[in-house]
Amino acid sequence: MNTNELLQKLNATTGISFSIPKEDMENPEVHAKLEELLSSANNGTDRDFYFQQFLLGQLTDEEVEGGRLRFHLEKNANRVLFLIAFKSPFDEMSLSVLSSLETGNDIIVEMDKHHIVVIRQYRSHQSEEDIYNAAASIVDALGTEAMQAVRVSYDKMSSEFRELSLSYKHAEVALHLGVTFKNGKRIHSYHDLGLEKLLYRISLDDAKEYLDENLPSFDFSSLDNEMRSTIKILFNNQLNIADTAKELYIHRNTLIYRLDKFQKLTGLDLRNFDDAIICKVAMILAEYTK
Amino acid sequence: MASISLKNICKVYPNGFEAVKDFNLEVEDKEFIIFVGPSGCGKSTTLRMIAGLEDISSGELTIDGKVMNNIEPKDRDIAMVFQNYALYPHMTVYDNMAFGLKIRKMPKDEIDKRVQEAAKILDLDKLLDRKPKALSGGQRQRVAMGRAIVRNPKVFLMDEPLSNLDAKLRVQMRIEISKLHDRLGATIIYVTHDQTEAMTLGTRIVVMKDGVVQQIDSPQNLYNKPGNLFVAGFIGSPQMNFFPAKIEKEGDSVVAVVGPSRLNVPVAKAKALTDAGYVGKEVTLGIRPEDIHDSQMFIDASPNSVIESTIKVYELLGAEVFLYFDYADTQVTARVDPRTTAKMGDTVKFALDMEKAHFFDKDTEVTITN
Repeated sequence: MNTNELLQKLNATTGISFSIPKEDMENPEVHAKLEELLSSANNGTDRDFYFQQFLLGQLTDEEVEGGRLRFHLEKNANRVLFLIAFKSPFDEMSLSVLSSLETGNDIIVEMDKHHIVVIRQYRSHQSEEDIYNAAASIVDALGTEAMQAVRVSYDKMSSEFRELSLSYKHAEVALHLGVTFKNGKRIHSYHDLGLEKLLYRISLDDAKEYLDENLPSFDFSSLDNEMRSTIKILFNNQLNIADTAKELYIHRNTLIYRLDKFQKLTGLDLRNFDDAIICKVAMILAEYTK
Repeated sequence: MASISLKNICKVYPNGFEAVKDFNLEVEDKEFIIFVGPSGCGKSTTLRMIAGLEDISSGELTIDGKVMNNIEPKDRDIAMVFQNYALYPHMTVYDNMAFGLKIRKMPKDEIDKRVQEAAKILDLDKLLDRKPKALSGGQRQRVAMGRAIVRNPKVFLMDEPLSNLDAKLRVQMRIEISKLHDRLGATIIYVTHDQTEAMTLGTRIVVMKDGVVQQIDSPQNLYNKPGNLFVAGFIGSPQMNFFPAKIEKEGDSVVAVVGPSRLNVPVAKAKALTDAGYVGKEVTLGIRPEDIHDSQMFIDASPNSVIESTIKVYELLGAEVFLYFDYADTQVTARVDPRTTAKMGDTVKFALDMEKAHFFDKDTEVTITN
């Protein structure tokens, strides 16, 4: 490739117009520098493509390892993958915010118009709370600065580079289940999904059969918000009546009255552990089968 | 600054869950409005609908008379401060504050003018060259506020901005925010789950529960005249004590039967209960901890509203003492003078200040009389 061709190629790759004084057109040093620039520019594109393919699980182990070495990525490091889902297509502002938030080692991968992956590398192990706070910072920074509504999902911290592909899969599942089961939440951890993660794997027919067997002729969508939050808080408080009443700011007799009302509707006494389990599973399945 | 109107605003998620139901509010220019309620009550969702970060399922949102339902967040002329504010670690305080304006391609001169002004207001002008790691928690929080102020917006929306600070700093920043409201003359909508924050900051407070507005009122009215049992229990710390009670006639008087006690109901409250047909019916009686007295003088003056119980827990907080005891199947808290002689295990007489008692319908939980 002569110098002119190199300049054209660089322009096509980077969108930047480079100009060289006439007397330097044949200068081997300038030629070498331009080749280096083109190689770096191509690497930039290659890097995004490599990460997309890697995260989507479309590379062989050898290709993953080859890319890792080519892009000088540490094999063993503490990393967390955050999958960011934008309500509207993301813009330059969002990318600027994400780049500015980084601590120096973030890898930002544009997956499609609505999804960006941020792979953050940490010097030390991070607690679940630290990771949640990092996700919350992303949500709040994009909301306040770029005015973008996003959801963020993540997996646990990985220690080996090749695990990131699985982290991406988990983050995708967390996002999907979060949208299905936890509408109001904007941050979804794969490891916080618990029973939802398990029940999502059963077939729709099995789910419907369970609902028909345990709660015939009862529709969970007919429950009002008050009853829903009462049940949710009762479960969060391990079925403890006193703690639940306190958190709901109601007298324990009011809570008992509500639980009796639910028992009349469904036959389930939520003070009883077995009935509570049936209710918990049925509520998740009712969302899932909708 | 701006006025905001929310008319019949609802938020329904695709799974049918109604996060916010029929929300109505008129916010006047320069008001400091607080949305308060327990986790999941819909307060943040409502704020995010005003910001444009959540779609409005039905109803109408206007800012300065202009319908905003379908206007992009960036075009609503609002600025937000959220709980998990993250400062850009590699940027100075100046650049952190200027960043939002830079990415909006604002001229440098204008950016500089706004940053300098905001820095002066927030007392950050001597820290503009510092990086976030060299700032204290309070200074960082002020930078986060500064990023919103430089936008010069019509409305400030704040979602639990102090939640990540320690208790001492939270109190300090609460005062700062209050001063800021006065200085900027700004319209502010502020979300918190902390009722103390709500009571000290707001000109008006919107109490929410399960997506439904429970009461919109001044802090004082919320405390003295709660509209229902939930508001009565939520506002005030320690919370109001609630007893199951039966209203009965006793000659010309009306009494509330609570456990073994027959508590005399003051005339005005007795009339309200009688007129509404509660004689012979069960109600919930509410009384705040500071309206339960253990002083002999008060007991002597109120012989018809005395109860007796054994102190389970004695808590000295310096300027006051909390006494915990059980009565009529209820755990009761009394806030008394620290000079009290009552100790744990003592059987003590208490007089309830029935002038301050609240009565609620047992089923609807709505206030009968305050």
